[in-house]
Amino acid sequence: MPIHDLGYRAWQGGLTAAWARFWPITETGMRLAWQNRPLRRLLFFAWLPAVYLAAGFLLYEQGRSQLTGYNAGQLQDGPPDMDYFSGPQPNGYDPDDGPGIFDQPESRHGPRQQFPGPSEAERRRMAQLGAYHAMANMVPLPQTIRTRLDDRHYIWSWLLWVFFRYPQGVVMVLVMGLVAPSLIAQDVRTRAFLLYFSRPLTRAEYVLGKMATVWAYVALITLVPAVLLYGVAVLMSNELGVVAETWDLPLRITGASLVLIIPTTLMALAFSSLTSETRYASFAWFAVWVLGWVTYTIVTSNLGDQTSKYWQLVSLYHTLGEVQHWVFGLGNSTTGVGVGPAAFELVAIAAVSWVILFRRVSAPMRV
Amino acid sequence: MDTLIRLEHITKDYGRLRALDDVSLALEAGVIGLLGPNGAGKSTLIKVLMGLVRVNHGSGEVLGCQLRREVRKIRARVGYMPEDDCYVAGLSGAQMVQFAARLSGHPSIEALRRAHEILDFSGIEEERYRNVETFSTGMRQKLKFAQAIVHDPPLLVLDEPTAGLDPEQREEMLDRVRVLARKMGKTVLISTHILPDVQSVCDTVVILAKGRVRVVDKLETLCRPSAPTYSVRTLGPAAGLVERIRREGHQVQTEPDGTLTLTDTDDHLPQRVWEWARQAEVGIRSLAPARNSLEQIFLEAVKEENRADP
Repeated sequence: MPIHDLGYRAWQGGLTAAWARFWPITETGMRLAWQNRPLRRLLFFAWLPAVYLAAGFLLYEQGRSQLTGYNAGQLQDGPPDMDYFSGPQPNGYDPDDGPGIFDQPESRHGPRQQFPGPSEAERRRMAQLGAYHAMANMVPLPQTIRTRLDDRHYIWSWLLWVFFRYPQGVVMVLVMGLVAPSLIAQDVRTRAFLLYFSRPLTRAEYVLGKMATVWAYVALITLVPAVLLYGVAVLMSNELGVVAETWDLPLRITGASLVLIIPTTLMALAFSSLTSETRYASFAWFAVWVLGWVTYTIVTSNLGDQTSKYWQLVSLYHTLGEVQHWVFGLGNSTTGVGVGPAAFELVAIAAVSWVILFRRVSAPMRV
Repeated sequence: MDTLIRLEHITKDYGRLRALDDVSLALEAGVIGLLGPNGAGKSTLIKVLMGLVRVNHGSGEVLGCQLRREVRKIRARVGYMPEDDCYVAGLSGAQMVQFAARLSGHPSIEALRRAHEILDFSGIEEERYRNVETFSTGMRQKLKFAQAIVHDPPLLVLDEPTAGLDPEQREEMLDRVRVLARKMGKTVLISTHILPDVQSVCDTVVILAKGRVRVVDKLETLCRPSAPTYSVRTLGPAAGLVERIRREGHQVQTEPDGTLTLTDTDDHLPQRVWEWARQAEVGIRSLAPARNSLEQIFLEAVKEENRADP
């Protein structure tokens, strides 16, 4: 017997609020998942795309700062004609000869010339603008983006959507595939339901606790870096008005995160609840994504324009992208099925998964 | 004394199988033994008390809380030790008990302190830092016991608490139950097949068979024979004494192990038996009031149920 054994003593302390009972499940789930070394590595690399996107915001804002006082509409016609500034001007000014008369203060040299040449600063700005356009030409931007390079809100939304859609969409599948399958499957295997439900805990709180475990990890690679990206972009813009211009983007980021997280988490947990073997739940999870994506790709590549756009619904990856496109205010994608059917599919997946989850969580109590 | 558990006409069906059939009970504080053969409905009755399954008919109260409407309150005030192994994979013993306390609402740090205190009480020492998946059967039993009592519930429901324990551990476990019941004032409901355990710690016995309550009574009352009965063990042959007792007009029966059982309402019978034995030159090893054995009571209750079942 330990020398400090106090025997049994009555509990005199207070209790936490009833609404917070899901939190120990979440915290424990997160701690157990963190022991997975591949997951830790994946989370580290999952932040690299955010760094690239931050560079994208930086370049866009730098280029945009050169547009001040310049007709942004000219961007649609391609880079400015640099030859125009490089040779002698009609008034005899050659920019290569050094500062000209139009660079001097107006008070000392009388009225401004009828056709003033560009100042050194203006020339530098134009040169940077040319570089900006050259860069924009190097990046394979969609035509809709090219024609709206002056619309900051649109470009930021598009960059954030790209972040959610491409790198983080894929990483989310991997992260959730490492975290979610074991969450309920192990409880089924070890009969932990009796431990949970003999406590003042409802099934909904149990499911919420498990879901929040997944959300925390997925938010760590989607919501958190996206909000930070937005903050970085605001800091890079050098304009106070940018916040008023883009105030809705953090809300759209949150909305896109929820669109990504809720149906996928419920589906992953539903798979997890259907088996006591984690590997089966993992297999089912990855199979849904891979088979859907492969099927959609094969069908669209074979049938081309004749493909029914509803084939997009077989690929959860593309369906999510469609809804997120709309959430970021970019409208319906040109090739997609549209937000209506895509959103309906996600809601249906969430609802069916919720029903399965509840039935499976209740099942051990019935015997 | 207040009724802590009250059930009225509870019926529970699993599909076409009737697990509980019109069960009515009123149990007071103390240590209650829940007995019954396999499939009698013991586990279902426990699940009903915990609000883990919904009943088809009937109503009830546990610790003053309505069975259907106040499940959360009931679970906050009941500690449940399941029969099956149940644990959260990946946690150590201490983390497991802390987790159980937190699920019951204890703040994290306090839950850890309390967990260590309860693990000491439950006899889990350095093993508490090992992963629960590596625990032996006995250790898991103690761990389940610890998680059931960590939140200091007034009612404990223990399903087979001594299963898988060696004799020493079993006795320690029963001692803990006694401490909780006698010193801490807990009410303990023990479901078990091990009748000596019930006889050792329980005040009240409930016997279930085929979903029906066959016996509910104080153990003391159940074990008391219907008429005053004495059990006499002799040194050597007892024929002389038996003959003398019969000659005096009393009923005596010789059991297969040689024990004599006397039934009579005469309060002075023991003194007379001593005298007759001296006269018959028969040595007496023991003479004590006889008690009905729990095993006998149990078997009769189950047998009655089988007879009643067409």
